[in-house]
Amino acid sequence: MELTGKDRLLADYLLGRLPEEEQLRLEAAYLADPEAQEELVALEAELIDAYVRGELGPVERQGLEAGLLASPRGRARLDFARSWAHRGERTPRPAGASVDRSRPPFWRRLPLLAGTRLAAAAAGLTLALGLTALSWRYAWEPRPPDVAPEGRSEEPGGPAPGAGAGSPPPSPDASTGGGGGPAQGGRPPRREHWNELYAGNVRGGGEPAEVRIPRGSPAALLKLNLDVDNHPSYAVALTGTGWVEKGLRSRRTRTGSALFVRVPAALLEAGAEYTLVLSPGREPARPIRAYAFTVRE
Amino acid sequence: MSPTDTGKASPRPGRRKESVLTGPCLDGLLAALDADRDVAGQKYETLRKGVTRFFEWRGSRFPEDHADETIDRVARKLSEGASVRNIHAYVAGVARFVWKELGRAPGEAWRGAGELPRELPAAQPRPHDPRLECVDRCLEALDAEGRELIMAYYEDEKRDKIERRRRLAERLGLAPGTLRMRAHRLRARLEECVRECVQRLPE
Repeated sequence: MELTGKDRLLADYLLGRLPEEEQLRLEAAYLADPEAQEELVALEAELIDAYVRGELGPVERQGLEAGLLASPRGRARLDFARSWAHRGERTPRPAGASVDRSRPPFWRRLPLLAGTRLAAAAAGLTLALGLTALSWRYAWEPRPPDVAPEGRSEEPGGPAPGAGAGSPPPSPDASTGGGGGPAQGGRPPRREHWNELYAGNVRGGGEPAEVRIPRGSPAALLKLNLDVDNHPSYAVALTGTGWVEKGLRSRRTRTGSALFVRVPAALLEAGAEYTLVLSPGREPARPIRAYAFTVRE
Repeated sequence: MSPTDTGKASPRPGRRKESVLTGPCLDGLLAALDADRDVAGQKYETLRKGVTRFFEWRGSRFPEDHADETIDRVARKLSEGASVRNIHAYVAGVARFVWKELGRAPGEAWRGAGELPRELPAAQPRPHDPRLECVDRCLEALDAEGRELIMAYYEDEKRDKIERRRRLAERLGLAPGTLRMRAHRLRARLEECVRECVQRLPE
């Protein structure tokens, strides 16, 4: 969550991250000043919204859960924030609400872009680069352990070998970095450990799956098992980090189908808990499954 | 049971004992807040609200009870002749003491976390959320200007939020701080409206 100056200080206080001396100073100030209290309460909303949108890091998230969200008023604010976020994603704005739309969220920009010639040209270029890169990557990248010999062929051209392994073509986009670039071209295939994840680990009441990242590995290798596989492509987002991987295609496995995702290890802290949110590739704003996991020490 | 229910501060932890804030105790506290009794009354309200927030921000399930316990203790000390130079700093110190007595040292993990479903970002697919009807209804109840402002201010875009809000403040001719407080007050109204609306919904 982006905060600067005084907001950062106040947020740190609300998250229980200020040194005690600073806390005391702030407390003496806001106990005397209704406006200071109101500023803090206003910032609560920002933090709760960020929490609901998965923009907080694990430490911030835990701080908020341990503090404000454990109080009755915090829980009530969380309920509201969820509904507010839900409403923003599912329903049109009411008539008369002419808001500043100069820069809509990225998922809302996608259809707009898709209609432009520029986007068509960019898509063509990306596809060409992608196919080239995929063929290059196939020279060194191992296949996931239990991938069936042939992939799905729902999309034009069908999946290239290695596609859908969660590792998109090399791209300058930082969001895809760390997943293992093609720098080691020519290396012979080797077996890798793919961590199995199933949707609903959290909501189903069970414990999140444990993910192991071998020492020195640039990425966590995650196999997202699909109970229903009816989209030509998918997008996944890692909560609290802003990391998104798009254009994933499912692969047949011995037990059904799955997505193979490489999450940069640099984004993951040992012992922390994360959720990968899965959306259809064509509707990235519509989450359909969630895969929770913790990173093993 | 919440951690705040397991403290050692009172026979019924988490719930305050009978207040001693009457007569001389109350007078002493008000005098410490301001020489003018009316002003002191306002400052007392601010203080009590602030102490309640103090406990809320630490995850208390009974923040008002703990606030009253804190203020009672301060008032008692003052009536016993304690010399206090900065009453607000003193109250903050006593509040911390009360909190520690309740068994929740600052920074300690929330042991009641199991009660709260782990949050998923964006929205989990939910078939029907009756609260949404309330949100819509309450939004419609705002005037057009307020509705526009709150929707623009809290638009769920994380990138460029600061810049977007700066532009919004510029467009509305407001200082950024003023815009924030205005949006916050509108949101508080909206939240209250939704809370009341939800209570009226059939089970």
